[in-house]
Amino acid sequence: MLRIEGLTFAYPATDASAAPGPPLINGLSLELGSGEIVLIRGPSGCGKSTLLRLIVRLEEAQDGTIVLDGEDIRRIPVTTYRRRVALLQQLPVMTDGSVRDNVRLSFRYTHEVPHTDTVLRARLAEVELDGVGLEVPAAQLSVGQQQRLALLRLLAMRPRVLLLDEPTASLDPDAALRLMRVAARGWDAVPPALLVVSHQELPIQDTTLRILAFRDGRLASVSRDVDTSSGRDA
Amino acid sequence: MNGALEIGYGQLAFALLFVVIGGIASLRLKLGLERDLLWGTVRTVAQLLLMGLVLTWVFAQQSWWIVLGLYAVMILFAARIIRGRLRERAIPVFLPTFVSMLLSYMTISYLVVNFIVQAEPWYLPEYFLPIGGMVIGNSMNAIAVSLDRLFSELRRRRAEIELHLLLGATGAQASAMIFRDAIRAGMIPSINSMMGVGLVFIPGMMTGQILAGADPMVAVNYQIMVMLMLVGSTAIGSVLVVTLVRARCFSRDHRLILRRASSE
Repeated sequence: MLRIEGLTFAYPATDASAAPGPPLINGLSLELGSGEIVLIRGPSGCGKSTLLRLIVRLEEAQDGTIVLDGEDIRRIPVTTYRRRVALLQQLPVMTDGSVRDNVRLSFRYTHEVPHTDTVLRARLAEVELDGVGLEVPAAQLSVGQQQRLALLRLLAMRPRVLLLDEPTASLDPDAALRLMRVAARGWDAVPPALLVVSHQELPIQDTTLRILAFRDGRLASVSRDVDTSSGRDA
Repeated sequence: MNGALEIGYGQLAFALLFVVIGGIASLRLKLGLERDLLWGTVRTVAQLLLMGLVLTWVFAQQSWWIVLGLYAVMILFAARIIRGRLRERAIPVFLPTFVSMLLSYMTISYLVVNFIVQAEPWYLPEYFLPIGGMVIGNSMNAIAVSLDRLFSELRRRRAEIELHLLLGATGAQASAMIFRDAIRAGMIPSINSMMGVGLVFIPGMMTGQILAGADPMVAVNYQIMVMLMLVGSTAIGSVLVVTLVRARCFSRDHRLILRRASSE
């Protein structure tokens, strides 16, 4: 469904006259199937988050192609594309206003009709925010609640692919895992494929999950045995 | 008008005494401003004398293309000063600033001179250049303030802008709130001066006309026109410039190009 081939990226040099730095992402390839869950591991600063930013086109790759459902993403209008391939930012970003205002942001840039309050309450319950009032200023929520609200905002767009950037940056590993489960379920008969990057170990027991390691600007598969054992320890 | 009393070079030399007093104060209080004072004085004298010569020549020519040409040069300098005052170097601002100032200020100066003052001909340099100069001088500050605010807010609120982009917004939609902030920041000083004029200060143009022997009521009418013109030109100038420059901060595929001060 989402196919990445030969992706290469280096941040431009800070000085305009100098050459760009060494590539952070170097000929990376990845294939993500429908409904699949992939976890990418790697140390901080290795380029995992940049990979996600490249996928949602917040950065521009120097080389390589990304194809969604057989179509080169450069041919899809970017504002449409970003609603099909959604990114949950590392730290939740709330705008001024209530919980309701924040969820309605999902519909601001489309012609879709926003959810009614009844639907909204049901959706809030799905992301474990059932006790939270719609009128509550979003800024008053805890970081964990804000991150779940941010996820709800993305799920409301019914994306085909959902990218999670370092869920443990704002949540503890268990909460991050619960967030991943909610994200993977989605709201439709066809749940979104999930691509998660994390520098921290997650106590995962799910065997359907594919784990990749980020090394030298590329992805390498990780032996299942190693991972499940570390998962059991956690 | 019966003309102002003339000041000769001898009397001007006497005025230098004020700078000398400033210099003594700087030396005594160790302000370290002596060089700047000296350089500022030299530039003031030289630039104004040069302006006087140029204006004398232009007034003698009475040709529309010389008037507009000189006006374009003045705008060119204003655009350079604006660029110099900004710390942002990643986004080129000179050309959009110059082009939008040129278009809007020429139009405004033409409208004022031709339809309000009703000078004959419309490019009458004695009116066109001082009025045009006031337009540039005032909105130059507004534009610099607006652009500075635009850049600093785009950097500071990057995560918020990207949130909107990620929800399907275009660059313009994602930065709408910052756009408004930037324009407002530029406009506030000229609105404030509308509040204070006549109560807190007598504006320079009116002072000049009164000194030149004009009836204060005539000077007042001119000043009212100037104040209204300045608010309008500030608004049009900053909206145009900020629109063009903001468009350069986003790529065609709606990416925010400006990076955080410390790149990740």
